Amino acid sequence: MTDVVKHAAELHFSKHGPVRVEGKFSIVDIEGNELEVAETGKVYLCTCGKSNTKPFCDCSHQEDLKLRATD
Amino acid sequence: MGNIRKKYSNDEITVYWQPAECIHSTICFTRLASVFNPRKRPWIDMNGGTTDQILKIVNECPTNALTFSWIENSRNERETSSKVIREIKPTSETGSENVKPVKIQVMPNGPLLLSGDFQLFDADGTKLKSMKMVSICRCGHSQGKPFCDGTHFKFGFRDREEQQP
Repeated sequence: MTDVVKHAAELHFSKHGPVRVEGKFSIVDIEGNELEVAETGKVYLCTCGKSNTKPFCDCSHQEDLKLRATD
Repeated sequence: MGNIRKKYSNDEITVYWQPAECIHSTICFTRLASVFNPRKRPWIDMNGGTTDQILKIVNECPTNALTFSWIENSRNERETSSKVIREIKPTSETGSENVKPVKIQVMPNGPLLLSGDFQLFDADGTKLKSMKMVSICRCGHSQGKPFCDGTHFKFGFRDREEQQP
């Protein structure tokens, strides 16, 4: 019975990429507009700071990964 | 980006705007600029006209870029306009009716501010400790990821290139 607790929304972080948000949530953008996510209830939000479609991920983090491929 | 819908409300109706659907017919702002003004932010001012005036424009919009719903739900059932959005019946899982949506605020040049009933999972799928409010790093420089540690200030993180600090 440990995992039955349901939360309104879940946020799943990834190693170098965006955070996946699922469930019931609203997003208020930097201008104060409420963005509604229609139907799918899933978005990927940028956490690397490089996206050109902030707050959403546009895969710009992958440029960084290429540079760091030899880490 | 294609599934984003913005909401604007007055006491009676909520107008939805789906940028991906807009074909730039210009009907909205040429006929009711006091409400629909692309030069302003937010670009829809629900106090700029009456509900009737706003609905007329929403109905004239040739695509589903502009749609609406009545605040009073029973009116949505009776509404004959094809532009009306009726509430999608929530499913039994996370969308149950009494569940309050988690609020995600995008702070200008700063973190994501989460509040409500949410659960965080790290990249391995491990649950992080539960909390009711937290700031999530959005600049990529925090030393305490995924949480914000204020480092965005030091790096001069900007939402847009042209923005001033």
